[in-house]
Amino acid sequence: MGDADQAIVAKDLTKTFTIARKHEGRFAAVRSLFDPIREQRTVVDRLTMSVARGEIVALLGPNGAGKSTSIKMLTGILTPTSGEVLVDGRVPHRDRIANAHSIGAVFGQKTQLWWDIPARQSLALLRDIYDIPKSVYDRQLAEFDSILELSQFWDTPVRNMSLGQRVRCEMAGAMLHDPPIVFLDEPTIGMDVVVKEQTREFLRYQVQERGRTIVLTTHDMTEVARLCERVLLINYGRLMFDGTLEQLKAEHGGKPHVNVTFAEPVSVVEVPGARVVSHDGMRAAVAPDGVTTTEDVVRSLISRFPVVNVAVEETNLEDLMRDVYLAKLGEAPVSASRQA
Amino acid sequence: MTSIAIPGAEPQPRRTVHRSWRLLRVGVLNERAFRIRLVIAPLTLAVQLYLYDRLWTAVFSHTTKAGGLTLKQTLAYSLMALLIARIRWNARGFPGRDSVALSVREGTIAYWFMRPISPGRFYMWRQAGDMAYGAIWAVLGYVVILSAGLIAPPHGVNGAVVFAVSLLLGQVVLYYLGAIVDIAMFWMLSNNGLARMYYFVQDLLSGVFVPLPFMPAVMLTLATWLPFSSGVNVPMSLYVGRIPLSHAPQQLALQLFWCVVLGLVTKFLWSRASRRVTVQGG
Repeated sequence: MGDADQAIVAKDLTKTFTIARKHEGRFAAVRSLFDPIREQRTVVDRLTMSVARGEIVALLGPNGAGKSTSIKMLTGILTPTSGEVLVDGRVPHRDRIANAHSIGAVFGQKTQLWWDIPARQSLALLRDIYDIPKSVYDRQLAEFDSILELSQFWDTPVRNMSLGQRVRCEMAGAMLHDPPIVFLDEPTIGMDVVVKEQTREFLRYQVQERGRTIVLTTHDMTEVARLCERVLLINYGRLMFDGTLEQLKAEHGGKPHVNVTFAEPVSVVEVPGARVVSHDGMRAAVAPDGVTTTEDVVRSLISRFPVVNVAVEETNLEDLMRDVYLAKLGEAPVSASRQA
Repeated sequence: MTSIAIPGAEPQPRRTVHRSWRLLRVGVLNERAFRIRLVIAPLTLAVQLYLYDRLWTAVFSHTTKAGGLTLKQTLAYSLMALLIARIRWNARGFPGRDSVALSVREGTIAYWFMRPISPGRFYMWRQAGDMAYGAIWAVLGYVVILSAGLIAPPHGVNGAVVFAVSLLLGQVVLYYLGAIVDIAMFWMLSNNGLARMYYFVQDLLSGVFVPLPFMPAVMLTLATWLPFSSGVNVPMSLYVGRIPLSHAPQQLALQLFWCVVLGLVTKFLWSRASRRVTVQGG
């Protein structure tokens, strides 16, 4: 560990919580009140990963997979039960104060802005907390405003802002002190498409022009496709995949489907090197298997059946992720090509 | 820390004083957001002061002394106890959404542990801001009741200085006690019941509801042995002359003792809380 090119390095990172469970049977409520059943629950299990400086990676996984807990250990909020973690060369939970200058974070629906006062005053309070010099503060604010258009609403109390406005202010608050590493936990949840794109542009700018490292947790696969070259997939608290989206597609049948419409009902559809995904007589969806290409499938379909229309449908990332999540990933990691 | 080169950025001289003290203003900013509070605050104080004045005047209609205090002393004690309680009125549960209780429950406590000042220091500045705001109302109330002749001024310069020091130490004691109740949230995840019970006991045993000399002997002894009386009873007893100025050093030393003990307990609890912090929600 300790590679200078790595912004984040985690090795065998584990977090276990003690959960109080209720008794069952007679006097269960009273017994649970005074002597609940306590059990250990491992939320993150020997997570090993690294993120290079200036990289933007997506941390993916179904609900309850351990993504947020992982981020809270990487930000130093939670102390790991075991394992090692270095963020910008520091152990975050042991050196929280120094670590605070290196990181920024947005936790989805949780605001760090003061609810009842205008956002600009909240940002000024963050300036004082981070002890940011005035010239830096003014420059940062001007830069954020130029992309996120904050000045249109930053004199509004946070409680009166729309979700999109508030999250844009949260982004500014998270990066106001110029941190090299930023953690974004579902930042665009609930935003409309225009604001989402504005936010993506902001994040791209921060990575490409400012060289920040961003770890992004999201369920929005469009966002992943547009922002992140690399994805880390977590399930059951374990790293299940580390690679590009293209690699993930390749490993999980992410090839395009060929949708075909026949001139007359076809009773059996069979195509060499392909599997039939759906078939209802007049229409079928066929997916290439193994080394078979989409073009091969189209040629076979046209030569074998009375085809009137063919359309190639690109892989739907949402469907891909659903398939990946449902593939019982708890049994073994899919790939560990870039583990630290 | 790895810094990012920003075009046009010049090296900044390092300040010796961290600007986090400016968090003091959050209390006022929160109050300004709800202007009705600026009306309600003096109105509430006026009603409380008027009712207590009427109550004690009625109680003393058939006697000149009770609990060792005259009507004038009792009025001064009671009315100023209300004003002293006003100092920490907002600090008891920040009126904004950044109370420890709400932050733990909603998970925004995460941000407290990601900042370059400790959660304890952040809490301290926020509380100090709310207390300073409350103190403004208390001073205004004091000027009004003093001008109205309801209370007498302190006994000379020495009396005023001793009272001020005792009042300050008492506020520090109450701050630490409140902090302990707030930090309990990290273990309890809901401290509503504890907070209600605590603040009732604090007000009762510090002398806010009724001057402590009116309490039964057992309760008076109990209150004297506990830190609560440092908050109101000690400064007010010094003010009205129930405790002579010659005994002030012992009283101030006892208040200082509680400040140190409770300060250490609070520091210990913050360190334990930072190890067991969990964040509600994903």
